[in-house]
Amino acid sequence: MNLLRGQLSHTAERALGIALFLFAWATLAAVIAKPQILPGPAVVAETLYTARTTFAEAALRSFVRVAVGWGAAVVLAVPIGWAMGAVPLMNRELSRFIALLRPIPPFAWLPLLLIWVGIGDTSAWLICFVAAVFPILSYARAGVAEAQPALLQAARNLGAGGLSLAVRVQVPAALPMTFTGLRSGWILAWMSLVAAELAGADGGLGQLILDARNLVRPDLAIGGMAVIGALAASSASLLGGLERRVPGCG
Amino acid sequence: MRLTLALLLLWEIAGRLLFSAHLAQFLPIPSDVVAMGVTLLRNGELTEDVLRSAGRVAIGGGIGVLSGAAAGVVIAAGRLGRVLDAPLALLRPVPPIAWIPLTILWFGVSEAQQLAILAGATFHVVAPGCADAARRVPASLLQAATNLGASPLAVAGVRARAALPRVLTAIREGVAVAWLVVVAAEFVSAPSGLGVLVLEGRDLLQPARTFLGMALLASCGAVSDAGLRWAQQRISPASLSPSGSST
Repeated sequence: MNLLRGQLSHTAERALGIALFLFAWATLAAVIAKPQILPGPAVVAETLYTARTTFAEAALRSFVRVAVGWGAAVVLAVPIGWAMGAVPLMNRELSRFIALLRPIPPFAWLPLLLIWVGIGDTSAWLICFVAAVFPILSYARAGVAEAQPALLQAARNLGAGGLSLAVRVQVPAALPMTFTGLRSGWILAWMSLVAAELAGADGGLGQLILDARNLVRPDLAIGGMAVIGALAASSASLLGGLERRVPGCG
Repeated sequence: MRLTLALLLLWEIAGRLLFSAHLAQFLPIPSDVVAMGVTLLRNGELTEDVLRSAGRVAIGGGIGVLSGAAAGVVIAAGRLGRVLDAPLALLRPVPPIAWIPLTILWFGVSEAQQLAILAGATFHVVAPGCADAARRVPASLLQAATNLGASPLAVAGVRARAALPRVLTAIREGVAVAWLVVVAAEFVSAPSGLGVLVLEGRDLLQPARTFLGMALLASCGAVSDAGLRWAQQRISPASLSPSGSST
């Protein structure tokens, strides 16, 4: 009973916090009384409703871009990461190379990509790919490399070797960490995409909030930011939910 | 290492043999990048760009770290803290870069706007990290201190000391995020900086600038992380050991 009460009071506290925030926002907007600087929450909500098709289109466009880039990163980085974790020789050779590229902020690749492939979906996919590839690789490698040696030894003792060992023992053991990498890559890809769209890919949520600034429509900007945040949070927790369904990760 | 050097050499040779003037617009060869670096160093542009970006990270990041640490303490403190954390948790999933248009509407294209973005980005990493650090201090430790006669202030000191390792890691993560964000912030509105250098490469059709900027950004980020690690090692060596609480 105490646990339930504890949970209820936590929810109540959260609700109170959000209510206070909305109240403070509305009050500040009323005091400033300049909707072109700070529109109140009601105005933003209304804008979100009236322009809902615009928001939905932009959201879908951005989401697909992230999904494609991230998906490509998963397909490439997970197997390579696993291989690097399992085969020390591969790890040694590739690590240095990767360590040189990784510290470059994903967004810094954008002008280069723009020079090479121009504005549009391709550069968006590539930015998401570059952003997601390194975290996914690192976590996948760590997942394999940090598998408990006792586990591997036990499997070997029972006669597993080579490919069979890899597929039936190492991969499942690496899954939890790999999933963490997938989530981390997704979030980074999302952030990089918004940045890329802000700087000049066509369409998508990033361009929406950029336009909002040019049109001096902070309500559009805030609405766009809310949609970006909500999509980021919900897709991340969707991934978390997926992870729990994979046996061994829940 | 061998792989990297081999690739660089291959790039250089292939560039000199195969690249036409047309291709040079897209892909500079390593020696071009170095030459560009030397030129820009000589006329002072490079130093200015590096200092500007580093300065923004330091100041904006610093503000974010201090406010984040303060907020973290408040959040961990109980009821009031949880109430205050709710709106912050709402704002947190919004990427720092998405704040750029709004902050430009508010602050105009100015240094203040850049710092605001950086401070916000760092804050959202440091605050939860510090709150987590404060919460993880074992209650038994605080109880023992009280039992031994420590005043509330002294107990707070014990808590701070115990939370320090995780706090330092959170600060490092915050600065790392600042380096990621500064590029994007500069793109949209700054007269000079490493992000601007990267962008100029495209505008001036001098990809060597872009490569140079990217390399310097990576290096600066790595250097600042190494510096903070060193400081963390001096202040709290246990936090960096394998059995410690951080990476």
